[in-house]
Amino acid sequence: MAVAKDAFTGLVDAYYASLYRFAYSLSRSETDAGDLTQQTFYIWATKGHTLHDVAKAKSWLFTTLHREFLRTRRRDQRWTFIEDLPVAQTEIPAEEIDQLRQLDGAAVMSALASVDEIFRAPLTLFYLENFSYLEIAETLGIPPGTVMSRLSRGKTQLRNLLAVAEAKPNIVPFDASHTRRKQQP
Amino acid sequence: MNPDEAKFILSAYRAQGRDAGDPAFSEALELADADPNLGRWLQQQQAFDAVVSEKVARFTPPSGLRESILAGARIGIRKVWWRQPRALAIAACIAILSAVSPLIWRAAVSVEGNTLSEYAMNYASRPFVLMEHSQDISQLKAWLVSHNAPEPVNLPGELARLKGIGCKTLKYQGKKISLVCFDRNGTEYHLFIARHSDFPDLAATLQMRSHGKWGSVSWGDAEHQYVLVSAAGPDAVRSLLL
Repeated sequence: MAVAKDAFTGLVDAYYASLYRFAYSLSRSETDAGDLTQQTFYIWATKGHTLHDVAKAKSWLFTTLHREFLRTRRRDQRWTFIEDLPVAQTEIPAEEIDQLRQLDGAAVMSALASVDEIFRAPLTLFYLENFSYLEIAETLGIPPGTVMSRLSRGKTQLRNLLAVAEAKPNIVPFDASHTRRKQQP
Repeated sequence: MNPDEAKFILSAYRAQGRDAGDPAFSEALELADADPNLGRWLQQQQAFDAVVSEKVARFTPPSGLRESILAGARIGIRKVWWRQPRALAIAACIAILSAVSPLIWRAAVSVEGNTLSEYAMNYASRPFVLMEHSQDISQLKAWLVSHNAPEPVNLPGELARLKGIGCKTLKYQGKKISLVCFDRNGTEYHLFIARHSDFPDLAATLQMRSHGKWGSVSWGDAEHQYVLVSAAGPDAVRSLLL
């Protein structure tokens, strides 16, 4: 017998994958990402009714997940501030974008998760959910100008990390013993 | 505005003209129209962004997460026992909120505790997702060993005979610990296992704790410290060790 979807199920279906990706990029752990996503929806289930404007549910969920991440992460983890990282000003050759297309989603997600934490949250919201810089600012509670700065610098770092990921598949281990055997008469 | 300032602003400009109506970008976009180098840079940037967006969208959550979310949240909403045991198996080890008072729940908001017992009780009282699912304890042990996590050995009493639900690894005070969940006639028991070498200050003597309806018992052997917690209460937890 078919069971009609309730509003909560609809909300989970609409956002749980995106929230999990956001959580993974923040925590860099599948376990923690699953827990954070589940915790976020639990908070919604118990407190979400206090949100009068349901249209803001998406923003509420991402903001809540980010707060949960900040609250639960270990105290000895520290923010990484790299203010001297250059903004994204250099050109991106077409070959670099072609190489990027060859990577699978997990490799790109891994690179995104390796970006310094301060840039990671705005970058992930930008790429995952196409959040505007104003939505990112509201979700993360930071000024719009800071969002622009972090997006620009974060993209530079992401490009560097992706370049490393793109280079890896081309490194083929050299089997010297095999070559020596072939050279023997 | 010079081209570098325009690049700084346009880094936040989304593809497909989503921000075309935002005045914050208008001056930079006009400059990109007039400056071929800047225009080419913007095109490249947007192509790069489009590929990254497409790639990360393919990163899929683990199977079972959706079911765990729905089951866990419904328990919270209705404050009654989850009505579908099969779904509960999928959502293994979700906190049994029907058995927990609101006071306990608020206490559980802060997962970190002063002791491993507090951490265990806090952690088990909120929704979480297992990494490996099996009723076979030997399979769960093998999974923990393969993940370089402490495994349960020489479990006492009835605990050694219970069916498993699943397991996962956790970080407590920066060290890897294990969580193995057991089923006893539909009631969940959560066993946290830490290495003595990681926590030399933990007492190996038998200790009982309770918080509301939750109970915990901790003990140690030569290599490990164990904390067993359940919403079934301190008496039920203690009886498993006999």
